[in-house]
Amino acid sequence: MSDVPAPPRLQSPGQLAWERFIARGSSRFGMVVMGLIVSVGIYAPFLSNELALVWWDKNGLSFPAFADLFNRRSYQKPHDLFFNVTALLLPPLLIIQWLVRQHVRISRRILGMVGIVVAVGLLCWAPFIPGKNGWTAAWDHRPFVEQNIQTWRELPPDSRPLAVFAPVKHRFDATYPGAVLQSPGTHNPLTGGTYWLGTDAGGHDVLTHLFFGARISLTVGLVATGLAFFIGIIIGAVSGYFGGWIDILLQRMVEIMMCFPTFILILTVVAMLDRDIFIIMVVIGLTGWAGVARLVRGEFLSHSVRDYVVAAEALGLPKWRIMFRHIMPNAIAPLIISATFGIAGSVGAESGLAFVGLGDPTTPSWGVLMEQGRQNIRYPWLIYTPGLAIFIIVMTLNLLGNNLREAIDPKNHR
Amino acid sequence: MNAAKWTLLIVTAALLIYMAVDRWRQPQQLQRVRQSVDRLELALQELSRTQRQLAEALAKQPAVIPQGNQPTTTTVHAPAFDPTVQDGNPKLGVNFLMPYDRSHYHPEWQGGTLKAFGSTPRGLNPLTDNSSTSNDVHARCNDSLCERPATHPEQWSANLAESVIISDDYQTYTFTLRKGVRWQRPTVASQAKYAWLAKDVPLTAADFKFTLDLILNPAVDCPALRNYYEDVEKVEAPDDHTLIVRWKRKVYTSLSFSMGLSPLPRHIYGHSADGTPIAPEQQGVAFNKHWFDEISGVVGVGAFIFEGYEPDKVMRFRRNPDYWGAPLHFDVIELNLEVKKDDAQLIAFKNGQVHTHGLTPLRYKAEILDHKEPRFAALDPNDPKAGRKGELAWTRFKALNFSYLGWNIRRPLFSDKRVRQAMSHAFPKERIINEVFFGLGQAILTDVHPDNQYANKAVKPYAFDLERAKVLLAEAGWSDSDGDGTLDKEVDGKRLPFRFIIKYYSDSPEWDNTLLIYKNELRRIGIDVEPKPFQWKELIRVYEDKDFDAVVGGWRMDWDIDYYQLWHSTQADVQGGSNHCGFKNARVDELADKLRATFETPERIAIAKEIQAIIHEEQPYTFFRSGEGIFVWQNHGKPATDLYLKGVTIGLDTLHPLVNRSAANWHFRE
Repeated sequence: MSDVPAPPRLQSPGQLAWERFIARGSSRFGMVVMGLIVSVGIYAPFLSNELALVWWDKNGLSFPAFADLFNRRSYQKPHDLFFNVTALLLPPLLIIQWLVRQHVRISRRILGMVGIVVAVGLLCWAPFIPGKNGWTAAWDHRPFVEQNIQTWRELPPDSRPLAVFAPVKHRFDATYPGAVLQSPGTHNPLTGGTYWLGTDAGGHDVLTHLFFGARISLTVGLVATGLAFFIGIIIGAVSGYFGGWIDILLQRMVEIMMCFPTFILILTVVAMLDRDIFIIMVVIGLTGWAGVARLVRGEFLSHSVRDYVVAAEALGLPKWRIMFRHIMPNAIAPLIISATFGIAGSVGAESGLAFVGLGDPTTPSWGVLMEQGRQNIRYPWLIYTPGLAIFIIVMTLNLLGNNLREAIDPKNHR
Repeated sequence: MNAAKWTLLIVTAALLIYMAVDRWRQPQQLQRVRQSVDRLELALQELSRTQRQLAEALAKQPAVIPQGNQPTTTTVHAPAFDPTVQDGNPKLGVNFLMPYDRSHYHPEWQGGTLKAFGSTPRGLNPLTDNSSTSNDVHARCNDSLCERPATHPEQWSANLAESVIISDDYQTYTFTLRKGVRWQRPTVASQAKYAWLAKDVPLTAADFKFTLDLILNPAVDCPALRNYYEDVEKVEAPDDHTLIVRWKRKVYTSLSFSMGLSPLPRHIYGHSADGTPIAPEQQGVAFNKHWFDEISGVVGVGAFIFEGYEPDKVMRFRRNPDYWGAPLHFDVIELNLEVKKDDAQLIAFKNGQVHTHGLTPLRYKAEILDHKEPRFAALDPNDPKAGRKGELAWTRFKALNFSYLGWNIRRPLFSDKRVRQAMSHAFPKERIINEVFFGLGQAILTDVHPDNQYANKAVKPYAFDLERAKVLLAEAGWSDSDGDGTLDKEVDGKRLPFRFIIKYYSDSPEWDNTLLIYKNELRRIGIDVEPKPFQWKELIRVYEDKDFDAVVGGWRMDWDIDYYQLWHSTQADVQGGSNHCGFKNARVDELADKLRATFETPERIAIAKEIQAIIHEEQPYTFFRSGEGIFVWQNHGKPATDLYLKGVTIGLDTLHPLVNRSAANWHFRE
């Protein structure tokens, strides 16, 4: 805030903005909420699973839920695998980073680059592990794991192995006998668990659905926004930097895109294509770049005439280098704000699509759950729970974006 | 300069991407072109064949008439009712029709308006618009020669024909028509322009001859319907009340297509708008775009007079005061074409805007089982008629349809019958019916309804048994050789994992759940299945192109069974053929052909049971369930509503034609 006394050491504008941002209570609150949602998404298989987290019988100690993380027969969609990899690798990576920073003097920049390399490795989705037939992809089809709560309960009490189970004892893609549209608090005789938030029309536990739906919402937000920004930044940068007739041409393109009511456009396109969650993400991304292009163009227009750009041009640097290494870092701040809102918008758009019945029915997304609530209006928990979840994530992202804007905007800071 | 370079780069990149995408799509486009060429070729073949047959028939005509006339012109007038002969089962040389039944009509219930939901027809031509909406309109307004009694759909009773004599080894049908049946006067006859229609016209055999001639006329745009009549040799109307239909060969479908024929008004369709007769050679072309269709006219001899419709608003029928038979109980039928979404329809029904409706399984669960709507009476296991006690009444009804999982026998995964049997053993049919469909529906073993006399109930069902499935798969050579949990097998030198996609209809939460349960069961025995939803139109293309490993589907069930369309090997490789699983069995082919030429019921039953036993053994489908629905109606309210509702209640007990027809429409919602 403005009345904080200026710190004695030199700070970059980024650090200053971050301090202003984090000084706000609502920012800290929003960060905590987002952190919770992301953690729930990443650790959903440990929050809700039929498989034992730890299983200790006469064959020794095993960790079925962990072993199952890379089983393609349990997790078929690629985003699940991404989150599973993250779940497994995030804690060691954080520890390594902490240790490195403790003991080695290393610049943030190099650490960040290493971080990016690791993230790309994660994104490749298939870390290779040694196996019988040499190194094979970790994400593969594996045998059905029997060390689950149902087997455990079927055993006589005195011969049950020591086992630790997830707090919610339901699989996200299981339909339990007689579980269709049960009200919150109903007991599941098969697993001994309780449907804390009831079940949906497919006999799935709503709470489990919410946990795994967080993954979908986050993926949709990131992929769709990432795609929109990729296109928007290229078009906006080219348009703003070169100006002239290229600018005129590209801006007319942007205007044509902006003329379409976005949601109606998405509806039309999705209605013609397959109901696959990744197609939906791509469509949301492909229709959302116009605003970004406008924003980037404005930044590039104002920067392209500044002295440092002229100096770089005089040095004979290639255009792409000036655009993406010189101007881009200076123009990134408003983009970050815009991205925050973009993610919120994408999450809303995906839920909206699913709500009108154009979602991917094979994916446990919050919107799909809400659409079930619309169809089975007599069962209110199907509307309230996913509705509340979507409300929280969208509101939090908007709150963070707003605070970020105020923190970065130099006019707000004396 | 640089700017131009950049643009060029972007344009080139875009072009490259477009070319790549286009190249990738090329095989699909080519395939589509090839398919349409194939289709054209088939249509051309069909056309030339029809032409040839027509030419042959014309050439033979003078020679045939004196031969054929001898035995058939001896018109037999209906003698006194003889229950041993007139049992409704086809016999040679005697009138076997049961007498027309008027017992369902109670004059004291007459009156009132029935309001229900309907849909806007695309057109109302009785022959060329072959949609269910159009068929419903005509069925309400018109009658057929003979009728299947609702209580015994396997038998035949008199209707427009008082008697029928089948002779000449089931190749000649001689109908004696009912006297005193009159055509309805069209509603447009009150206009001056159509004043020539304002006359009283009796129904005669010439009307039937006119209808059949139209169907057989290659110029008329009804190839599907004509297909069924292609074996008709000759139609004659020697006098006003005698109709003779002669078939070229002994084929069982001739029975239902001769006896089920409905007449078209010759005095309308044979004339142009100003009342001048149309020349016979112009008739076919004129009929395709007839003026009477353009004013949405429907005229019949049936219980209701069609009063017209406003698209997406309302369609009206009025009781025919001069109806020859036992009328239905309503004075007016008003169909609401406005409300289309299922949830809006339910609300409209509850608000009393319409009197009848149907519930999907999930709605049945919400409204009745969970009793969220107190006006419905709760389910009472001891009282099958408990549903009728509430302010809003409900009852279960059986729909004549079934659903299945089809296995593509052409593909290496499902070419072995033991694999298909294993798939059936792994399908928890009863559990799914109870949990996903809330008990609505009946598990089936074959494609014949369990209530039908043709059903073979002696076959042993494939009970849910994962161990047995594993054994069968192992016998067929499937084992998990690489330890990844998925079964695999060497096929043509390659290791093929047991992994496939099952395609299904996307707007059905019931199928979503069914396939999820199945997927989890299959995972236990080492089979990976991915359910993939499709829009209805895309799914039809999947069936037509046979582009699937496994697919979900459903068929209507007929009381008269015929194994040709679904299971004959000639239907397996035809584009758009109904045997999409590619089932080929020489014995079934032989029996299906034999069944088509057999008329005696006991023999037909024996043949049908043998076919079913083979199909059951081969399991090209995993047969799932025959449909059951929930019919709801307003039980209390205005007095007029009460009156007609007695009619509906009775109707359901006896499968009232009106209700039965609407019931047949509901099953498509699944």
